[in-house]
Amino acid sequence: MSSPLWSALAKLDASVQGIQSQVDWLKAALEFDDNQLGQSLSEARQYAAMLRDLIREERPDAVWNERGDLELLIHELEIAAQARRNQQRRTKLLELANELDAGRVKHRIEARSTALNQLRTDAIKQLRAEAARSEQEKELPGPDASDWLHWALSLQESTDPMVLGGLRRDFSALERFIGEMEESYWIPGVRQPVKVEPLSMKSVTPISKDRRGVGA
Amino acid sequence: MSSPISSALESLDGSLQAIAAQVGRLRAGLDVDDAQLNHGLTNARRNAAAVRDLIRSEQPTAAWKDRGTLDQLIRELEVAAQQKKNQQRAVRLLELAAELDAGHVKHRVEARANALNGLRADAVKELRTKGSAPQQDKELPGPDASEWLHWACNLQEESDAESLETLHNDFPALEGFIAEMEENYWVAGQRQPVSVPQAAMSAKPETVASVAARAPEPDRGPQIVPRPQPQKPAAAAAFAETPNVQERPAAESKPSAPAPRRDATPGWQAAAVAVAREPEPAPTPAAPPKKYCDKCDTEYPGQFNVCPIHGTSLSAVSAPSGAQARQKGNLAATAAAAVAEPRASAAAAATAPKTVTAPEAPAAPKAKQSIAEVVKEAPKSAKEAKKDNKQQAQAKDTKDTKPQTKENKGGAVAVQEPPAPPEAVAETKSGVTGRAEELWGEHGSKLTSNPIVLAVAGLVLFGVLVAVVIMLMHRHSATTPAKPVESSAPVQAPSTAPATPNQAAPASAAPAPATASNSQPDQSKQQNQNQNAANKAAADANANAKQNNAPKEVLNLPTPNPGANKRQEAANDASEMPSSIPGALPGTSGSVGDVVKGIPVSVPSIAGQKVRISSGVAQAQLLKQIPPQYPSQARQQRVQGAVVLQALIDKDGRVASVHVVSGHPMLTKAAMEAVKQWRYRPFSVDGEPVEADTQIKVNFTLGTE
Repeated sequence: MSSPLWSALAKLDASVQGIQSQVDWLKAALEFDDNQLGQSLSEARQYAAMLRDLIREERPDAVWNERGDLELLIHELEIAAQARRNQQRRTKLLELANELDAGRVKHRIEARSTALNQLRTDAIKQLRAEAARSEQEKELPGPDASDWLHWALSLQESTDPMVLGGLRRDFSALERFIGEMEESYWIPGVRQPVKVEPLSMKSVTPISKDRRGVGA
Repeated sequence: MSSPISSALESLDGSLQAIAAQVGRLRAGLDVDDAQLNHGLTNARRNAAAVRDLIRSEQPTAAWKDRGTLDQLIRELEVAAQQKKNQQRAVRLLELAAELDAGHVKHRVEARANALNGLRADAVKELRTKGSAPQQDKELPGPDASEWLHWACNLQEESDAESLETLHNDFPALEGFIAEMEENYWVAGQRQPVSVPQAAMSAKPETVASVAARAPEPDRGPQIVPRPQPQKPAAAAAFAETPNVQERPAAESKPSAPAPRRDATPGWQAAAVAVAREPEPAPTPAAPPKKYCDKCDTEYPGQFNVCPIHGTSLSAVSAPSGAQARQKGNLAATAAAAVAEPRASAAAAATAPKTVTAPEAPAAPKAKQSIAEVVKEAPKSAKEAKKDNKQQAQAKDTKDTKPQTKENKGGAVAVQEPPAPPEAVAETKSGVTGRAEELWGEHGSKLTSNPIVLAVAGLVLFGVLVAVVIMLMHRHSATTPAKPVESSAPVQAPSTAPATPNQAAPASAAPAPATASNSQPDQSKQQNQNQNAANKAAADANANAKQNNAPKEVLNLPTPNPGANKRQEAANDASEMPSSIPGALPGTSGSVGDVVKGIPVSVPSIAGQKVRISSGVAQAQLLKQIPPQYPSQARQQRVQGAVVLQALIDKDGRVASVHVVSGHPMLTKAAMEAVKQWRYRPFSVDGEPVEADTQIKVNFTLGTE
């Protein structure tokens, strides 16, 4: 997991490990480097402060007393962030689907127009199918729906291979559509607003009050 | 674990806990207390340094990498320390066992000594058993083995309860031994060196970490070098070597009560000396059986071998019948001789039993001489003369315990001290008188029944009286005062026998010059004649004194006899010479003393002045003579010799003043005290009592033991 919280926590753990190694030398009645210990202590203090800030950003009233509480808190925060992220992803997919559904493709050749509109329909279908998943593991690259087609139709294979490859992997139909499309062919429509369903709390473990930590 | 290293490690862990708490807060993303964290770090550093120092003090080359190796190293060090402690404990136990085994207990009661030695053996066994154990969980309290018994015997129930309890719980046999012991029972010995058993020296296998750091140790434990034994005093060593208590001289014997256990005593060595010096009661030597003189049947203590009077050897068996008979015969002979003329007395003596011993023989002439001197010199009353004779006869008694005087050529009073401690009773005059009476009672009847003997005796007596009267009259008629003869004529002691008639005439010539006669024209001539006579008499007296001194046997005072007191009292009660003299003519008083008393003794008329008289003359005038007490200190130190005193006799015949001319300081006081009590017949010049200055010589002589 690479959330900021966990990152900050990982860094904190590294600095504390440096301190512990010096303490182990003390425990073995061996001499140790005071400078190194001081540096480790300083870093640990810094990372701990960062973590506290991150946590308080997510949850200003968060408190914890020990490491376990901290980890639990971070987990909760991560879950919430994940849900939030899922919601955001879903919304984006649905908005793009509505955007593509509101407009139409016009080609000078009727058959070509029909084919392109078919591809558009497949893309919309795929976007809405992905948005219906509970876990939004795939994130639609690009800007918002209103600027997305413009951004997508300007992608170059030579300069944006990763994006096109991601689209190709995660949203294949959408990628075929934009591969056939020209921005001049598109005739936008009036997008319907997206109704976002409430988040599903199945994956969020509720935190009881007694387990809720208090940050120092 | 309570070793110093473990304690330091625990302190280190404690300080690290404080650090760990702060680090935990950090790890939880919490704020930390910098002050507490720094304090914890400081303590941890200090404790870590202490651990390092302790380890390196035990093992300078020790090295470790982490806490695990450190723990292992500490375990090894503690095992070694425990082994060392075990070894030390074992050595202490074994050393004490050796100390107790080397010595032994001595008690005046053998059964008690055996019991104590049994307890000692049990204690030794217990100590050795426990000392040989591989694990020494119990530590013996107290000091080193050399001082341990002294410490243990001074433990108090109140102040040393802990030590006593430890001993009771851990070393019951040893505790039982010291509970019964007294310090002065203990006779220390030479402790053998102790070797620690192998079991106490077993070591665990060493780890890699400690092998490089530890110095190679021998397979066996270190050999215990016996500590140098302290030098024991010679007395203690001698005592230890000569356990026979009886060999010590009796002079060192003291009461056998042992020193109290709880008393603070000096070191163990001093206690050993005290034990040596304070002997157990030596069996008092059996008092030697009493011995008796074959001649006089005088009883002497066992240590006497020779009769001081007769010079004969003493025997353990008393021969009262024979000795007493001889004694009575002697007394009869001397009594008869005292009242007879010199020639007649010789014949009478010849008829008397011929068992007069040598000491008595010279004593008899001396007695006769003294009596003759008294008769010739001064006027005496019959009663006083009898007293003199009685005194002289009683002084001859060998059972007199007081120092007796004897006449010697120097005119001194010889004080003879018997070898045994004299009793206070002096049997002198009354004893002789009593025996004389006894003898007279036995034999006198036979003599008085013989008319020839009676006639001869009467004639002899008459002749003597006439001679004495004539001599006195000659002296009395002299007008010139005779110079006092300052000769050291022997002072007649009360112990001397009555003078024999042979000695009477010359002895009587020695005294003071006769009083002045009434005829003045011839006074000077008479005085010169008297002076010459006096000088001659003095010379004769000296010769007699020499003769009397010829036998070297001195008149040693015998040991006191239980009957002496009674005889002395009897003599004092009698206070007179034998009331009758055998062969006395009817009508006479029968007493020489009566005759003598009637003859005045006077000195040349130097009225109102002090006259100097010779000691012999003074002796003749002696009415009461108290023999001096031989000082005990002088007797103990074997001090003897003559004390010469200058005495002033007042007009009443008392010794007004005495001062020492010469003599041992230990003896002078006794001599002076005795002489001060003497009484003389008053000296007179022309009928006027005068003071007399004379010298008195008192001899203190110790008899042979």
